[in-house]
Amino acid sequence: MASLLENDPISTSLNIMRRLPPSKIEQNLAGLLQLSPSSTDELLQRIDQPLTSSKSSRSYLLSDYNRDGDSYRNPWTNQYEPDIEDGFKPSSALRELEVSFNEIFDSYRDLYYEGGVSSVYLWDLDDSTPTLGWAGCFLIMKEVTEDTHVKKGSWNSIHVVECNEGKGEAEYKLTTTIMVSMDTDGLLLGATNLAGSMTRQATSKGKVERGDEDHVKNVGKMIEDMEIDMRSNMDGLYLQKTAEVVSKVRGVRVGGVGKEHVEKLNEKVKGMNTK
Amino acid sequence: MLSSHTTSSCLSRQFSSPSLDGETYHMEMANEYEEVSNEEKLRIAQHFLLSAPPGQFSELLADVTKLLPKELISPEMLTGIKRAYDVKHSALVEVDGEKDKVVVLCKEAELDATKYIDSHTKKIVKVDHVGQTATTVTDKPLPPNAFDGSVEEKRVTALAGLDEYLKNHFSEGRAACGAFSKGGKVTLVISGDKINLKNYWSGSWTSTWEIDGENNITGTTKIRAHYFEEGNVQLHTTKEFPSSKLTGDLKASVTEHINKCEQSLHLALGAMYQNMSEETLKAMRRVMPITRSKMEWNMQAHKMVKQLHTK
Repeated sequence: MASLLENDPISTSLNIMRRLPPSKIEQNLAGLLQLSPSSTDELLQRIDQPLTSSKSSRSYLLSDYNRDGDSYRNPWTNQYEPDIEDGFKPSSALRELEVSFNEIFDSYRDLYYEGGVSSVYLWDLDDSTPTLGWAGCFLIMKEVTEDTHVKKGSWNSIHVVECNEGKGEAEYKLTTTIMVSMDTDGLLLGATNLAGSMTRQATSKGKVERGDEDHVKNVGKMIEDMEIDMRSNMDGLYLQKTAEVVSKVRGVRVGGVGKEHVEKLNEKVKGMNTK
Repeated sequence: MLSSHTTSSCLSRQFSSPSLDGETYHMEMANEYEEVSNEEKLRIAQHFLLSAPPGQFSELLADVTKLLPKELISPEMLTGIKRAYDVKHSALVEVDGEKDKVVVLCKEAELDATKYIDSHTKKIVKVDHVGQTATTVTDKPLPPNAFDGSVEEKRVTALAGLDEYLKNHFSEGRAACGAFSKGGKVTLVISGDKINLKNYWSGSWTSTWEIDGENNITGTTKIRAHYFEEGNVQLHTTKEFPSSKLTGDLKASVTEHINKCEQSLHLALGAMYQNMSEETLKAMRRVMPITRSKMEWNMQAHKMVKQLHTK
C-alpha cells in the first residue's frame, strides 16, 4: 500500500482510512470527501462502504454501483426506485448475464450465509473494443442481531470484477473487500466494538466457449475461493490478532496469588456465557 | 481500479452522507467540487487526529496535513490538538530521556498546558506534547495545592497499591500510573501501551478510578487494539465498573479490586473472541455449505434444482 506519489490524495486518503476506526467508515469517508472534493469520484470507487438494503418486497442492496442520482436500480426488475428517466442500465445482452448472475449468486448466498441479501450489478466497459468487456460488482450483506453474544453484527462482501473477453477466453480481475463489525454490551464486557476490513486482488483466465454459462462458472468459482480464503484470514488472523495485541499490553497471567482467582473467574465467565 | 460506470452516473448528483459528529452533511458532488471552509477542514482534521490509534498520531498527522491547505494547522493549534489527544487517551511520555521513567498524561495531572504532576516524585514535569518528550523541572517545586492534604496518606497508599498491580500485569509493555487528589477524592490513573508499527499493530489499556471519602471506588477501563497489515481491524472497549466499597487494608484492597475488575474484563474479552470464532462469524457466513461441498456454478443444473424446489 506504499504510495508511489507522495502527495497523491488517493493513496494519502487510503493510508488515513487504514488508521481510522473501521466501524465508522461512512463518517470518515464523508470527512475525506470534504478535505479533497476533487478526488470525490475516485475515493467513492476506491473506498468501500458498508452496504444497506432496500425496503422493497424482494430486497436488494443499495450501493454506489446501482445508484443514479437519488435512485437505485432494482436488480430483480431492472427498474430504478424511485423511477427516473434515462437511468443508467446495462445493454440488453449484458442484462441477460446480470439476470443469470443474480439468480445463481442468490443460491450461493443461501448456501453459505443462510440469510442476508445479495445483488449483482453489471456495466459495459465502453472503452474495451474490439474485445468484449464488462465489469460488475457482486454484493452480499448479512446482519446478525441479538445473537447469544453479539448485540449487532454485520458482514459485507464486495467483489468487483473486470472481465476482458478475447477469442474463446476471458481474463478476470477481481478485487474483494470484506467488512465485518460486531457490537456487544455484555455485563462483563461493557461497550465493545470489534470491526475490520480487508481487501485482496486476484486475476484469472478462463475459457469462454458457451458465453454466459462460462462467465458464471469462471467468476462464481473465483469469488467463492476468494471468500473462503478471506473468511479464514479474517477469523484466524485479523480478528484474533487484536486479542493478541491486548494481551501484549496487559498480561493475563498473574504471579503466584492470582492463579486460583483466575481459575475461579474463568468458571464464572463460562457460567455467564451459557445463560 | 474500474472505469466508466460510477463516473458517468454520479455527475451532478446530490449526495447525502452519514453524519460526522451527529451533524448531517449535504454535499453537491462531482461537477462543482465544492470547497468547504478552512474552519470546517480543520474541524474534520481534528476529529481524525483525535481518533488516531495508539502511537500513530504523527503518522496520521503527516497524511492529514497533505490534504489540507499549506500551514492551515498552525504549530499552536497542533500543540492544542496533541494535548487534547494525550489527555483523552491517558498517553504516556518518557521523562528525561530515560526509558524506565514514564509518566501518564491526564487531566488530573495537568497544572497547565505543558506542566504535569509526577505523582510519584511529587515534581513538575514539563511536556512537549508534539515532540513526545518531557523533562523534570528542578528549579520549581510542586504548588502547595497540587494535592489535597487531607487525603494525602490515602493517595500515597493507593498509589503503592497501583504500583503493585502494574508490576503484576503491565510488565511487558510500557506502563505508568498516577494518583491525584482533589476535594477529598482520590483519582487513580493507569495507562499501558505497546506499539509495534513495523509489524502493523499497536494497542493500549487505560483506566481511571475514583475513591471517595467513604472509600467507595468506581472506575472506567478503555481498551484499544489495532492491526493493519493489508487491512484495518480495531477493537474498542469501554467498561464502567459500578461503585464498590474498599474494606480492610487500603493498599491491598486497591490492588485486589482493580485486578478483579480488569481481570474479569480481560477474560470476558477472551471468551468473546472464542465465541466469535465459534459462533458469531459462523452465524454470519459458514466456513463451508452444510452439504460440505462447494457451490455448483452451473446455470443448467441450477435451473433444474430451482424447478424441483418450486414443484
